[in-house]
Amino acid sequence: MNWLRLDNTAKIYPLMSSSNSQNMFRANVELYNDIIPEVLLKALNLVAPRFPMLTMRLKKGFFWHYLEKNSAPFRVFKESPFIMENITESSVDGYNFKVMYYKKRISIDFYHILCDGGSAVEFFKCLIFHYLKIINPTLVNDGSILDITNQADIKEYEDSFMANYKKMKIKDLNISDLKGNPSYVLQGEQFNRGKAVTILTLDANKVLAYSKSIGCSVTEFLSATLIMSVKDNLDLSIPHADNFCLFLPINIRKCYNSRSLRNFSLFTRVNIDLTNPSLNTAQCITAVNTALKYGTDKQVLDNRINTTVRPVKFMPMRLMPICIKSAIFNVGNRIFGKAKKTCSISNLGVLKIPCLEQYIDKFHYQLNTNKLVPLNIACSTYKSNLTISLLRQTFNDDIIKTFTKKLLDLNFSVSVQSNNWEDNYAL
Amino acid sequence: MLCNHCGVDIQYNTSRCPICGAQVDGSCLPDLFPKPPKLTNKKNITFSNIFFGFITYLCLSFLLILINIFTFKELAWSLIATSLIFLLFLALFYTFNNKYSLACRNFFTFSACIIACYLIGYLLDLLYYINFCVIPNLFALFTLTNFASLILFDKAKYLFSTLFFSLLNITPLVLYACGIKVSLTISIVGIVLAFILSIISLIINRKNLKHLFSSFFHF
Repeated sequence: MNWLRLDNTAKIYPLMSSSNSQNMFRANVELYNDIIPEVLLKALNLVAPRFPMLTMRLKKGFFWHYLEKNSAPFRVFKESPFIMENITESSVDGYNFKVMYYKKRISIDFYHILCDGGSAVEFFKCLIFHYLKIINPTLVNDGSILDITNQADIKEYEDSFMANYKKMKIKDLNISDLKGNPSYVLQGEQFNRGKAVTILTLDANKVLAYSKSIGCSVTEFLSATLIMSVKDNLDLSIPHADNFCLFLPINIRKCYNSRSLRNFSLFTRVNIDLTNPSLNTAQCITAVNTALKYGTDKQVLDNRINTTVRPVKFMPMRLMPICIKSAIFNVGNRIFGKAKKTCSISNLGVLKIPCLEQYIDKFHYQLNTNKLVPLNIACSTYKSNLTISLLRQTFNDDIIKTFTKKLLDLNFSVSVQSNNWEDNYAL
Repeated sequence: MLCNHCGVDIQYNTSRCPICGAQVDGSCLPDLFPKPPKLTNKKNITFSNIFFGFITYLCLSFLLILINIFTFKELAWSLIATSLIFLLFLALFYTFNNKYSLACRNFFTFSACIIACYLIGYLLDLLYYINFCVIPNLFALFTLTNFASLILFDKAKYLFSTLFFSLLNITPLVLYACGIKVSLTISIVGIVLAFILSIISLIINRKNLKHLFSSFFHF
């Protein structure tokens, strides 16, 4: 495979990326022993050919960006203190992911043009398995890891958006449903470099039991807790306080029986009026539940897929040179660019890798933030530990403190890890 | 290690609880993230800023010298003008370089404005024999400089100094009303300009007015 089209959602990311922010996410695994970089590199060289779409270079074509075969040797990097700095052509030799290590942790930054969280986990599991297999050759794949001796199946790198697109007229598209309205933006002075990460670990079984006892899912409970934390720290002087918008990504592979290892997720929005004095957790749970039901409805998903794909198939859009597309996106973003979401909460779900359980201590991941969305939350469950990673780029951490206190008030035992980023600033 | 105050289990080396802020002794715990050098949350002038500033300076100086030689067959005033431009660039460099304290930068803003006023006045005087009025020029340039700072650094204090200097543009009118002879045309241009810039500043910062007020009083 010498070149590959970007998938439908990825097409927009290079046009919207700026020097300050890139659509990225980071997956981390903490092992019980220190990482050996040479072995990690060996494992990467072994695993990467199985994922041809991940090991490509982003190139600018005349009409769109595309992926081109990259033959540069792989490198592994010592983790930088600056979390999720932009992946540039020069920093990772043209690759769009960066494998890093620090003490017992292996982290990979993924640029979203390659894949979404669900696919990234498959690659990550494979890399960890082969890293551990080099150290411990007796390790056996129990079927939860992709076999690297097999060639990548064509279904794995299909653009599932295109595959599930049904031709429809522009007037039938529900663009406003995808577009959203200007929302409340979390305020506060922002770091000019680096991000603060706070990782909370809870007993997943206790959280699940509590969520069930109040009649909701873990995602709904955490989302509702977050909404109430923002409400407790609400600044009424900021515009759109009546439209707090929580963004919930949804993996739609199961709905469409897709095996794609590229981007194939949509989202749902929870819009809540935080100025309502009678707002309580139960109402928030209902709102999140309604939004999730709406966002996973097959008809809504069909329409959203069509709405996402149709503009890309629109002939004038296709024929427009990329420099004009880029200029339109940049100017439009600068003039009309308003936050359409306050923050995101992404729940990757339960990660099961039985054959690696004795080697992996923790798994967690982070979603990148930007100037307009300075706080993002990512959750995942591994070995009965629910890990909540809160990434922020503001000095102000009141929401995170309130969120944690709310969890402590419910008698959950919460472990915390942080990089205390603000302490590094000489104010 | 459990925080005695809020009960959260702290798992890394820290001296304060990240949730409640209480003092803790986490020196026995591991560092979980690599430590960066001490950071500062200020934007600095980059090498490209300095480079392009210097190139602009050279081009302007060269142009002035050419005009002087070919039009007036002399060199003297263009050398004075280029020296003033050099001083102006120097002052602007310090003004926009966040490495220096706010007071220092304000001083250089002030210096830059004065140099710029004299430069413009000197050129007007030489080229068109117009008797320039320093005061309205000065305040109009203060307004412009502050507006530029507002755009560049997005800092609240510049909005207020822009408004403040806009108000000062009225001074020549007051002087005129008191019977003191000043150039009214330049003054009126200054007022209109300052008014427009203030409106733009307010529109740009309309979302943050409350924060602007608090930061102004903090400043």
